[in-house]
Amino acid sequence: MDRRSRFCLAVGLALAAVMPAWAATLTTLTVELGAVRSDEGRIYVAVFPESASKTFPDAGDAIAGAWRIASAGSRRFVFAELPPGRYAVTAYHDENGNGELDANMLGIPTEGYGFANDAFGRMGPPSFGAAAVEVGEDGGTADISLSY
Amino acid sequence: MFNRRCLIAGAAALGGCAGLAPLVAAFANGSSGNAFHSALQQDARLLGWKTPAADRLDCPSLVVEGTLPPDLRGVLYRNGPAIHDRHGLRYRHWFDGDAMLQEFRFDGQHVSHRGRVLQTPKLAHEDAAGRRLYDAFDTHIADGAPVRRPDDVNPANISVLDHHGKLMALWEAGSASVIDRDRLAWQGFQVWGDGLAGVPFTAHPKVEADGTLWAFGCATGSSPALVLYRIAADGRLVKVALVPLEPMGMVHDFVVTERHLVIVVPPFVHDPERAGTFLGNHAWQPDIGTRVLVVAKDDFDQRRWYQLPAAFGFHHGNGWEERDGTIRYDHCVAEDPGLVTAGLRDVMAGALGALTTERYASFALHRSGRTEVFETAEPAEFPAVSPATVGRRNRYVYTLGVADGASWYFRTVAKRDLERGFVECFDYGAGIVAEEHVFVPSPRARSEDDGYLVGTFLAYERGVGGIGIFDAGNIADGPLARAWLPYPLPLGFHGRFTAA
Repeated sequence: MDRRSRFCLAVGLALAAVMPAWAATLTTLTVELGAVRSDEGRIYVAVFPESASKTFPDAGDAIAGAWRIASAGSRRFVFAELPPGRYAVTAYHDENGNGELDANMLGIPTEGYGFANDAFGRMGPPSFGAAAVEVGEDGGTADISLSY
Repeated sequence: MFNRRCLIAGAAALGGCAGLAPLVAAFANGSSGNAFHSALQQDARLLGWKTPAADRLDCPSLVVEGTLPPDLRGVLYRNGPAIHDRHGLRYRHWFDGDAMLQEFRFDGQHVSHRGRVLQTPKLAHEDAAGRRLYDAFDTHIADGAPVRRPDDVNPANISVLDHHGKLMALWEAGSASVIDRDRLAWQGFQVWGDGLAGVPFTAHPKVEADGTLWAFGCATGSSPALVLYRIAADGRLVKVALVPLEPMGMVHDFVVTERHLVIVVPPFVHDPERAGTFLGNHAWQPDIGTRVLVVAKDDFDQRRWYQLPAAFGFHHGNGWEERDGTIRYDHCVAEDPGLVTAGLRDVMAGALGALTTERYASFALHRSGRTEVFETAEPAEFPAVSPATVGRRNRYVYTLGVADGASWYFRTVAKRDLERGFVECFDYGAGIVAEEHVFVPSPRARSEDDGYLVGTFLAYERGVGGIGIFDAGNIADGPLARAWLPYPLPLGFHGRFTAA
């Protein structure tokens, strides 16, 4: 269950995350999501700050998240008002609409998912660094192709 | 334990293995295949590891020599790696290749054949890309695509299962594949129940006489575990359990008895921290010994472990238990996994080494924890029994063997009488490799060996394949019929017969 929950990118908690209140320059992360295979269910995306690198991709440590009704093909998610920095991004396709990334009894996801840079791990999720993109004052982009 | 008594002497034995220098790749990458193809020009014995000429092979009527039994009606499905070369790359190991499913259809008078390469998602992605993308059992693909799930690399290339009306091609590190029987084509991955998508399913499930299906899987991830399955005759999942096992060994087959499942774990153990190929991530650690898990069929939580001397083996014939609870089973075993780490790899580069290292051995597990090993000196592989005896005491087991004297690979078919300690065999003769022969009961069988033994062979010197049909009651007189294909087939692994 531990593996599964770590892998599970339930962004519900992330949606509730509160932005840091200091008034630095804020910037925009654009997530270009591709290879969505159907119109079923929802797509969830979560954004993780570098401070979450040790627990990545534990959904509770996401700084921002969003979901949309799924549509086959590609979708763009825009996260505005982020402080410049390195962010890892995860996404999954909750095709059956049960609110979570389903996994088999061994903890291997059975719904579509992906990481920024199309990073992948051996025997588990990739590291924060592999799934992170630089977001400067001019913004940044993360590309994710969902894998089913 | 057995008196070898070969009733038909072998034809002139082949000379010793040709002295081809082993062409062992320093790295786990595939090759152009030039070494293999030039070696094949000099040595026809390598024909069985050549990629077939086409992805589809058809022969509406094989040339029959002898007389086909009128009551042998149905289909022998066989599976095995076939696409060793594709997109300019030759795989490094026999176990790597994409599957070609073979269908031999018997109507009592004729035999027809179809061979079809299975377009698994793995092969379909590679064909679309025009290159190999995924690491295989023992070939690393440089700049390959990510492997996120075992089924990403599932070649469906080991065995077949025909259960509750569904034909399946089996791998062992991922899902079973459902096959469209009419088109003999890959259709989808089999999911046995909730949470079981992509969970490993053995190439050697056991089907009992009442249709109950027992299976296991080896999960080699960071939390290694054995998965145990009980599936009803109608395909419904009855139960499943996870048994953590660290380190995980390479387990290919298992045994069922009346009341237990027996899983023999050789000390060829998987290290998930290594970054090699799947095979390369295994290490031979004989000091661990062979661990044997015995699980009660009616309660997967009732488990006990036995310890045996280190040995490596792939296949079991059968197992049963005695009144006092003693479990007996057989296993074709060798001193180490050299067959898989060297022999079956080097042949892919055109170097013939030791390919018949496994010997027939029997084991006893006593309730007290005491174990016994009965070894024979006879090379034996691909054991088969009557389907009616699965999980019950069998008198006969059919294996492949070698001819007396030098025989570089399997060419005899042996019938072992376990009660009388007697071996009867037939030698296909020089220039032939015998493949697994399965037992097909007569429609109204009156005894355990009342039926036919059916198996393929490769006549490499003639450059064609064929299939032999024996009266299982009398192996020594040779096949009742041999049916010849006009083309060779790549050597395969396992098959099952589905009666019409």
